[in-house]
Amino acid sequence: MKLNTRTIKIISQVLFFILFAIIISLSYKQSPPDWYKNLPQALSPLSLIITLIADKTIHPIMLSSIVVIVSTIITGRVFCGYVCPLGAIIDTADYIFGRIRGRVGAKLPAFLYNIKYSLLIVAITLAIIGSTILLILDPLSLTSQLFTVILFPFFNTIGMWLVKLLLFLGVSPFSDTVVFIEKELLFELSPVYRFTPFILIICFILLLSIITRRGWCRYICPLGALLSLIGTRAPFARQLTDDCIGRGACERLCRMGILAESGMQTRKSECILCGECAFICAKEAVLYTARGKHKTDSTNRSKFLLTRRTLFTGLGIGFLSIIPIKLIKKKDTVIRPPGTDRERLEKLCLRCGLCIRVCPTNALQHDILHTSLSALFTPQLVARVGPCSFNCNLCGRVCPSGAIPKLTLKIKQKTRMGQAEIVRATCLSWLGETCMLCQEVCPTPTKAIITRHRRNHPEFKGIPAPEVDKDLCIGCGYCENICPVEPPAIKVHPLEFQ
Amino acid sequence: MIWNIKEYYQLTRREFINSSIKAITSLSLAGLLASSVMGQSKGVFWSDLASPDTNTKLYIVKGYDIYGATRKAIELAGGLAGVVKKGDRILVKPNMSFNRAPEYGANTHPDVVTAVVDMVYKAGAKQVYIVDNTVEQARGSYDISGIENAGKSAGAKVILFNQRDTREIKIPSAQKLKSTTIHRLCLECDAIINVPVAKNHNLTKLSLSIKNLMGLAGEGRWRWHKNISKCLADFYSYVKPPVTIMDASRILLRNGPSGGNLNDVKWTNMIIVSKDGVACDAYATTLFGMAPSDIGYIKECANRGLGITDPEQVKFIKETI
Repeated sequence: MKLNTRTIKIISQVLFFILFAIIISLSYKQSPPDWYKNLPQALSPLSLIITLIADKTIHPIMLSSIVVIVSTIITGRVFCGYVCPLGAIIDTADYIFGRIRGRVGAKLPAFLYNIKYSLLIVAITLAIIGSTILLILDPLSLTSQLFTVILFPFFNTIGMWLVKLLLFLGVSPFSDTVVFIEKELLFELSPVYRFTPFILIICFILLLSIITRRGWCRYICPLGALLSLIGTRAPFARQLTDDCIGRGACERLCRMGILAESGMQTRKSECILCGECAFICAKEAVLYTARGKHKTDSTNRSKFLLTRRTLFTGLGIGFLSIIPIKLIKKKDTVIRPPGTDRERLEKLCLRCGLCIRVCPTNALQHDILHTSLSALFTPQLVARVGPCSFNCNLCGRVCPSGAIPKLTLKIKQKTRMGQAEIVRATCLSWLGETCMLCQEVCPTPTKAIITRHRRNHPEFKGIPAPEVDKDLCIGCGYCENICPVEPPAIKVHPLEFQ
Repeated sequence: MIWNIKEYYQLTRREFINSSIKAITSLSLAGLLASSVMGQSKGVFWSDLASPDTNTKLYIVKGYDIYGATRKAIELAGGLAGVVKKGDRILVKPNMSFNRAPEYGANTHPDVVTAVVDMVYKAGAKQVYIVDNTVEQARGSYDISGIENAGKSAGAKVILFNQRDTREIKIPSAQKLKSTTIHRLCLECDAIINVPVAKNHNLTKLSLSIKNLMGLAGEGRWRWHKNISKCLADFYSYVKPPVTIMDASRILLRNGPSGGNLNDVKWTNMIIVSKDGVACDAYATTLFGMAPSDIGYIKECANRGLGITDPEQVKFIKETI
């Protein structure tokens, strides 16, 4: 097989996708090093720019996206074609839905290309008022969420069924196979995420393949828009040799739909260098080289770039969307991961869901309109699902943008997330039935739950009852998690600013 | 016999030299005697665990080398030959309830587990299992306690506690705990070896060998808390492991059972072996400055005749390495 550009692209996509999957699979490991765990999520220049505008800070790992910026300056949107894991998924979906769609797909009006630029402007406008909500459309965050919320739980369920099947077939639950599967491949607790919104977004992206190829990348992806802008003047691009006869086969088959005049004209800023046109060309007239050697390609640079109209549409929508962002706010507060609060998350969270992925107790869940629209998909701590593990600071260690600060274990163990409070009306111990589970599990070095006795009460004399020491409680939620009463008789209340 | 351990271990140099000379002479004499009298026979002199001797004995070895001390203590007791037969499957039950490093004293020290597993294999066991129903997240606790690695490298199978693997049992003689769930390995294995750690506990004051067995029970064990002493005695009467190897290398004095403060941990460098868990617990209470009658479940077990708490009736064999 000849190694043409198209083959190289497919190999690169597969390799990068596997790399992404391996890194996100291993990210839950408690042991250092940490530098690789959030690398895929930190690669997006969009996240870098948006968080920089919103919070005026840069987290060191985010600088790795400079690699992407430099490669884009030289070669255009090569990231979209060769690296982006969501691009790989979309290409696969394109292939699967090819029968329904037909090879070429529907011809959509050209102004749709401008949507992504408008979205980019909206994202920047919202970032100026301190909300990074549009990062939910960042393809790296989306892929990360896809793994966290849909793929890993899915594989976990399959693994559980596999174990059930093995047990049904008479394999001992203590045999090496079952122990290995349960300990190394499965989650300790089956993940319980509210995945509906993510399913909807992912389905929308995949179903776009029925209409057109790479529909998401063409029309919507704000990262694609940013890379298009950066890579407008890329010297390394699609070129034509003199052999081109203008047959136009490439124009119809272009993945991004950016060829014109029978393939003689390329909108280079949108080109992802996928090599489809070079593959289809009978004359082998398409080359990917540095500019200046071949002059037959009359490039049209300006047509689908940021026009004045796009800019103002974006600004208009951006300013209009400030209203719902500012208005849709509840008075509720929720417990946040250690060391962070709602405002910080609104400004810095990439919505990649990596903290939710790595949380060993499943305590971190998505905040889906619990507090405000701006904090959509940011992490919250649900103590009833799981406590904040005392000897774990992984969420802070993996957070690519520093939305959850990187706390050392010693500091994290003293960081307050909330405040536990006992509901004496339902607490078993206060009702005279010794329980004290909350005190048993309380992980602070000096127990934050102290024993009280109802000395004066004749019935309950000598029966210990729990009470929270407010100075020692860090709100980790162990007590609420283990409380046998439903609803829990000890509840962790969030601190006011969260 | 006095319960005061301090007097026993605070030796002056002269006393130490004297006693060690005595010990060496008597040991060598004993060895000579043994070899001449017993000839080729495999038995050891004071093989408590191997022989059906009714006299309760407590083997206490003090030493900084935890692995060595554990081995020494088991060897003093005559090895595990009386408990483990060739080809047996053995369940080792350490305490690894909490996500804490060994030095915090919340879990059994991994070196103790290694030594026990080694000795069990040496006695001819076919397979050793390690299981515990942890209070905190199982994986973190198994990992950070160091017991998973220790057990694995010694050749044991470390099993995650799964509710699926529990079985319902009935205890006809029970006062409170008529039925409960228990891990099926308890029912399937030939013997359970209890490897508890001596530590403080918020509800029962001390968590010792009998309390450690609670880690074999499955769902709903929190209900025991209402009548913890009686339930533990009921459960102990059902399970009753043939040998208890208590890790008192360091004891947690306050803020138990999870601990977390190194100031609460006192290094006592002791390993206690006995076939009577109650006697073991009764002795361990003195390390905390308490009496056996202070602890509800020990009192309950003694009242029911499940073991001996009176130090006068227990024979102590102590050694320092």
